[in-house]
Amino acid sequence: MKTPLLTILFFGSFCALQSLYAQDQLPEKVHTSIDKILDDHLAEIENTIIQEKEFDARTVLLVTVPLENFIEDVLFTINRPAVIYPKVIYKVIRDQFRQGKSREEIERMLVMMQKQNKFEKLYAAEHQK
Amino acid sequence: MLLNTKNSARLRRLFYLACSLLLAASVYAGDIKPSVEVEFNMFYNRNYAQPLSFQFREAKFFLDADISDRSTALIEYTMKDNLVRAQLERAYFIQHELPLNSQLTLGQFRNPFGYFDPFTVSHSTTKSTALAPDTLMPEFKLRDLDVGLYWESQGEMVTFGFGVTNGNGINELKDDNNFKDLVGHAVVSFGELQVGVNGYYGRKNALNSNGTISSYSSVEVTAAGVEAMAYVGDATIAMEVLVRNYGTLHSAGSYLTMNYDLSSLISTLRTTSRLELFDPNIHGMSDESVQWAQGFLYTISRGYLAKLEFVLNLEKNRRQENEIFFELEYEL
Repeated sequence: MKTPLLTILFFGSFCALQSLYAQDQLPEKVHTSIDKILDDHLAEIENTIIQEKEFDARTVLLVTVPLENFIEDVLFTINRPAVIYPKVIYKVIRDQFRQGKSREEIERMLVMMQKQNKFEKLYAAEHQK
Repeated sequence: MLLNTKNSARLRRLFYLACSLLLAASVYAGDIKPSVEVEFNMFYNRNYAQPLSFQFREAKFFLDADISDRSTALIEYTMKDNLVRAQLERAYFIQHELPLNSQLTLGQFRNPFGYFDPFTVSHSTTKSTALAPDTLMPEFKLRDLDVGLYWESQGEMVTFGFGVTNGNGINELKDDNNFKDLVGHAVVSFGELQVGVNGYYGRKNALNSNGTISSYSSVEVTAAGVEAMAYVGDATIAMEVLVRNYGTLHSAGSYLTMNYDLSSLISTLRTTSRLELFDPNIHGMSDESVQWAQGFLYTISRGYLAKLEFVLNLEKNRRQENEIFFELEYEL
């Protein structure tokens, strides 16, 4: 039991150290097969919006959880890496809050946009400009 | 199992060394993302001498590397059963965005077809079911693929892929199976409904009379599945029917699983329901099992999850084997 716990501590401390050095800018596009990495990126989107102090932090926190669950269910279940577009997702959430949409409406909208591949389309449209 | 072999100590040292080097590099490069998930659970089964027990169910270590804009690599190492059973779960390289909107995977990966992993594979609540990977039922173990190469093309309407694998099975160091096994998978999407078929053909080493694997004789293995997945409102529903022939042994199974988002009721809550039928030997008598698993998952905060699951056996004579889990998961 001692060795596994030491391994967890060892590995965990590197994770924490790595996160200290992680870039604080939202990436354009991310491929991942790991829920934790997906979770980190979505949390970063929420944190970016919260730090702008335009909206209530409690409303923004965990707003991407239904989207995360959906991606895990559909993509990770069939062992396909997920592609997410953090900057696009960030802009969609921010704009929807600015339009006065409720948290529930935004949660549903994010899942719907993922189902319809709209994040990818918005990303492609931005990069064609 | 990797650590049950003679070479385990050397391999373990090599693995730790490789991880340490990769992790050290990650601190500077930032392109390799390490992560850890630890699952601690409370487990109740009234048939056990100690019905209520606590354990570290699983710890997973990941290294996810962005090699370039179009290529990634992943290493996943897991420790299970109170952290005493360890294995290299996945180690592969993926080249994305190839022609025909395709990707190529090389290495040791999980089943690339069907929805064989229970729903919410990363937060699964239904690991104890017969059809789940890594259970004691050997009949479906082949779906833990060996080292191989898999190509998949994703279209608007049609997704298809095929691959070839080699080796004795996941984490088997002894490589005396030189047969190349083939896998194939095709899915057609109709709006929010996907329907697909999958298949496997190969040869596995036969078993000697004492249960050890024979290096000299083999048996033919075939498996086929029909699958479907649909999004209905806040629910995602998936099902699969699969059959398998392992030499003269014929098995069959099916499952219907549904994830339902309950965030309108309680924020970040969702439920997973799974009905599973499994017949390990079609010609055997009374060996079928029917299980219902009902799970609830609640995201407490970023990195903290709570899960509650009931596994109910629907046959009368197996009801005493019903189980309850409560689990806390922490992601670092």
